[in-house]
Amino acid sequence: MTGRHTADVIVIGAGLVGACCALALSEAGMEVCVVDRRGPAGGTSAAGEGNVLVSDKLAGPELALALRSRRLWDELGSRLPLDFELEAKGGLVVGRDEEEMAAIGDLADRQAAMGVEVERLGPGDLARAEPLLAPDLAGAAYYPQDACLQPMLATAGLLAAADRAGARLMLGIEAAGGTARSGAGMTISTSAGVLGAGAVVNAAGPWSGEVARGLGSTIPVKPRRGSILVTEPLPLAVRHKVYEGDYVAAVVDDASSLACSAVVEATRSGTLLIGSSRQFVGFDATPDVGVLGELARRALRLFPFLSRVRALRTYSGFRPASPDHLPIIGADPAVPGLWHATGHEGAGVGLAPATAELIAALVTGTTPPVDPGPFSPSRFAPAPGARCNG
Amino acid sequence: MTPPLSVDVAVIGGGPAGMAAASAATGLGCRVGLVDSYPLLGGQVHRQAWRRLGAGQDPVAGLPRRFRGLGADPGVRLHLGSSVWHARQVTGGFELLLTTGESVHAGAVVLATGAVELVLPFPGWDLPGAMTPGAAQALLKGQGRLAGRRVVVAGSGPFLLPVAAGLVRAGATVVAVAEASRLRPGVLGRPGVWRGLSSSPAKLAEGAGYLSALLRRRVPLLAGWAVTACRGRSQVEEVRLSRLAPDWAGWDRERWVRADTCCVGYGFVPSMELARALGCGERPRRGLPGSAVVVGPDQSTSTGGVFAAGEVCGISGAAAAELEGLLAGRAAACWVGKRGGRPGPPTASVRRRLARQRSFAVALEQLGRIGAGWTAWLEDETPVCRCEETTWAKVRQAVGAGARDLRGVRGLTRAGMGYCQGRVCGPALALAVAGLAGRGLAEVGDLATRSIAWPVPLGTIAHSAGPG
Repeated sequence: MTGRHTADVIVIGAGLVGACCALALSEAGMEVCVVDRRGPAGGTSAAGEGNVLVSDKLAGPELALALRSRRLWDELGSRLPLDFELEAKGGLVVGRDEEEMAAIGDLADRQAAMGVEVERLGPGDLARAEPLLAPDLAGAAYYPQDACLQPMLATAGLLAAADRAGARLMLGIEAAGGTARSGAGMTISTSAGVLGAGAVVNAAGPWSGEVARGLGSTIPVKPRRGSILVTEPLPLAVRHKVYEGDYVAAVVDDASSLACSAVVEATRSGTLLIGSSRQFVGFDATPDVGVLGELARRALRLFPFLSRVRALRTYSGFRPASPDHLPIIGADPAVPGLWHATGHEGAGVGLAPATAELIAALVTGTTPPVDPGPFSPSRFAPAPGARCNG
Repeated sequence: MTPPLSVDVAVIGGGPAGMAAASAATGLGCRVGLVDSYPLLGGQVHRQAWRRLGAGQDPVAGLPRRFRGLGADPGVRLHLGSSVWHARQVTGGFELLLTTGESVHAGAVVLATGAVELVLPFPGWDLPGAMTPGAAQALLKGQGRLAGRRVVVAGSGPFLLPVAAGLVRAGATVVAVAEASRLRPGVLGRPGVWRGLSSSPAKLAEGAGYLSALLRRRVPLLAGWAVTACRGRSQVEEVRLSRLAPDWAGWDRERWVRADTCCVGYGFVPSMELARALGCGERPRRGLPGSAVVVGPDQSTSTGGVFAAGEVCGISGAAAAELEGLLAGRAAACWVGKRGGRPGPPTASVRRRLARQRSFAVALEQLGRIGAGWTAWLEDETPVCRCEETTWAKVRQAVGAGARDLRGVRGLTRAGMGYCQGRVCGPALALAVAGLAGRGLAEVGDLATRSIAWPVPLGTIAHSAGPG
């Protein structure tokens, strides 16, 4: 199975991360082929809120990546001839009491030191910023850089841009497995035949663990389920992305049972999206109305007026979670020619352009603008010699 | 949280299937809870006129005699004007969550959720005055109001005839009844068609009655014709009738007729939301969008303790629905351990009558298939989703951009994201996307959600959706 040469790089996954990688690699002069068993944004990209956030990142390497990515989204928004509804609506992290406000302020100070714009709001300012919030809240941190976009439009638009830049799209095609080629590169077997390339980028989101296994490697990505309630359209009732101060704690909470935190925001069509929940339940998609009850109860604590607003539907999906809550970006330590762009958990939309920039720099051997070290897949590899002890 | 009401058998849907199931189960000694979104019993077929706001109107007075006992039966608790927004399995049975905030615990569930009309969009279908035959019939039966003075009734299927006859009898001028399918001699030779049609003389007689009512008033009956557009300044003023090519991909004759209303429907699609929430096995419908619940001879579904009756198991008409309801009510009673003296006809004879009704329905389905080329009458600017005003051009662009199924198209175009959640546009969209993407109906999927079967206030969700 030598495999014909299909492209310089095969990107597995046509979600937002895969689409950004395809565009970045194409623009770097590589011949790119995108393979996905579904259509554009057929998995996690379509199952979230389209978050482009800096507010929910702890001060550290992920925040550096998020700040870079935020700038890249603005650039993409202005240079691509399409509207993916990028909107810097701003984020409000609200606290119920002085203790929560202290924790919110502490995180904000450390984020500000890394260049995040953040402003403290007392109860009066908060009521002016978001008049329908519950009156008994203690205050908030306001993050003007927080933005959102419509991820399906963005994915389709980026894939179209990649296509114009010469990338080939193979949608509805399943990548079954592959092996490293002698010399350099990899051979991939798909439902449409055998493909060969100098490099393979694994951008399969929550399925990237399976993809890695099929390609002879392992990465510790687990699906983490989330559900969102969607309301009927309303006239502008919620202006920002508003979330509870314990959201960041819920992200890094590793409980396999339910971790919930209220996140409420409006979409351009007027519907409100209400999240967020995190559960390790494998790929089980059975409806869980208890989770919906918890989301609704938490959302009502923030916005009491929601009590009479009707929910029309829910959707749920699976985030690609990594054990240390940092994305997994870079060369596979075991299989030459295999690269990973995954493990973003709920931040993949926001981090996609900077992830793609890193991947393109690493694959083409140039210097990336953000230190890739903390995201390297090799951080999970067993220490040298450890393998012999078992 | 409010303590849940506890019953032996919960019946969802107050049409012929649901009423028959409730009667059968209470006749065997079950405590029954019957839920329907309309304030009176009867469903679409036996819809009663709704006269008063507030409580006080007898919910059974206008029903056929055999159902009136449900109103005074101490074993039956009616939850009318309320919808089940979610159903789930809990320890010892099932829990139904109602939009009123109540919840009902039951040992067994009978799904009699019925069906929604299949609408194929056409230019002008979003004008006031364009509606489904069912909407016109509901106006007439529920409020005693005529949908319009000059009406075109069109689409496909046997339901067009009673609607047109009802309008004529109530004083409307029916400009034409247009059935899109054409009865060709070869069709009667297809397996089962002739036998199915001849198996139910009563049904043929019923159809003949409607036809003669229409012919007496000289209503033109057109076969092979469809409404392909309507237009008007602020509401329907003119309707285009076209004589369709065999696969509907165009027409060789057309004429514009003056009308203030057009009622267009192409049959029905089972309402599957709650069946899905309960994990019931389903089967695709041959050549038609949507799916139907798979049931055994006693109307049991693949989920133990859940039974289904009526159109949710496949479109077979009111008479079959009632027989299925009877069987489902008996089986549900048996499931919860109530098998006392069995009133009513013996099960074997019910099944024989049901088999005849079903073969009639299968034969009718063979006569009226949807032509693959129907999208030929859509224009670029025709909205295919009225809630979100998604145009036909946008749907084509989405498939061109790589969307391969309904969810993909919804994500790129917002079609199906509005208030009705694709209940109106979803089935037609499935047909259209399957055609554009060159895939089967089963492959493009549908838009039915599983968690919220009906819009529900967040306060109700917060109040009644506890941990499972």
